[in-house]
Amino acid sequence: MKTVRIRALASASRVAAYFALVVAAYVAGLVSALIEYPRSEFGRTWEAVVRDRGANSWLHLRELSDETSRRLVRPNDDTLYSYAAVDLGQGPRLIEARASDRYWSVQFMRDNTDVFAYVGSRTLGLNRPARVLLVPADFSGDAKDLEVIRAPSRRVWLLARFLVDGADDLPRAHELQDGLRILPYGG
Amino acid sequence: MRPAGAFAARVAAIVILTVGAYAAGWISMLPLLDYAIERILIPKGLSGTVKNGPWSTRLDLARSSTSAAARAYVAQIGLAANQAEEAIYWNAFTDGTGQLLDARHSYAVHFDGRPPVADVGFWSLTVYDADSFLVANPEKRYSVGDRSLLTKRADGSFTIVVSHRGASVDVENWLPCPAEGAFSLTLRMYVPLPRALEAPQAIAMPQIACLDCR
Repeated sequence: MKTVRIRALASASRVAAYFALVVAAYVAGLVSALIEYPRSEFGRTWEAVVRDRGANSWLHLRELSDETSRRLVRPNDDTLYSYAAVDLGQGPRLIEARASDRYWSVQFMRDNTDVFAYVGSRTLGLNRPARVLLVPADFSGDAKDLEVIRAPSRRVWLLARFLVDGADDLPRAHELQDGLRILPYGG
Repeated sequence: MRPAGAFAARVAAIVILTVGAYAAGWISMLPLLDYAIERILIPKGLSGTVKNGPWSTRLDLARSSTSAAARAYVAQIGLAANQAEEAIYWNAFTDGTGQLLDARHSYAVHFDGRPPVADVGFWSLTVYDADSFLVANPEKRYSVGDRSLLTKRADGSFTIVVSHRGASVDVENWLPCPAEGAFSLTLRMYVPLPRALEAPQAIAMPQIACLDCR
């Protein structure tokens, strides 16, 4: 009688242990996928841009979003976008932009989608050109007197926004897009 | 002989259960994330959501302190979320009384003045349909904002009418919503002033009043 009760207890605790194991493994799988997902989305986007355009080159969207825009949910109707996939594997890159009389920004994103820097009207003020040196995390070269932005990952995704004041203003915004540069840095 | 076999079977069971449950967790992440965004995050908000009347936002996105869940949420809705210092996006799915915004009705969105954004920034109010896309309309009016020729009162306050048909009051202050169904509003604050970042729940946000409900 006693042995039976002990056996039953032992088997009940074994079931509980298996159950805990399954729950823990399920949660571990869920959390791993959750952490990996932004990285894989970033990688997919980055690689697609490199395929379409090559690395270290700007791609400009010349129109404002409208009802046919399906790329993002809740797109804005305020700014034009330009973007670039930067590969710091071949060393630092100079990022340049023209002086602008309206809101603009370049958003620097690392490989897990976090933003690690901005350059634009907020950081510089209006009517100021931008010239920054984007360097790999281990960069130890001479940046001269350039503002240095240190990238936490080799792959960087740049997203630029330029405010537009209606359709008549698009040509002016296009000029600002065309002023974006990604240049190799020799120093 | 028998104990050894039982032991091996137990080890095999443990390995299969662990791998299977891990795989199940991995595979179910995206459907669960979609479910959470659709059913919980967007309508109700979660920890990290800031509420101000019918408006809600998050100020914790796109930075190293962002939670893994919030980061995955951003990756799912579109990769380009800004940090709050650059832009705050306020969404409203209901009017001031908590009733879902419904395209059969007309709404007055009342601003006390210019939203708290710096001169180097901008603001805009945009209408989205039930699928979170811009609303087709012949005039291609998707938003109003600091570049609009809004009619304002002497004290700087102004009212935007959101309705499917053109407002009888002032077309500059009119924002078209869909012909039917639920819709929502986004108030963008690019380069928000410090007070909007420090106490977003306490700043004066536009009031949303239904003009023809009941």
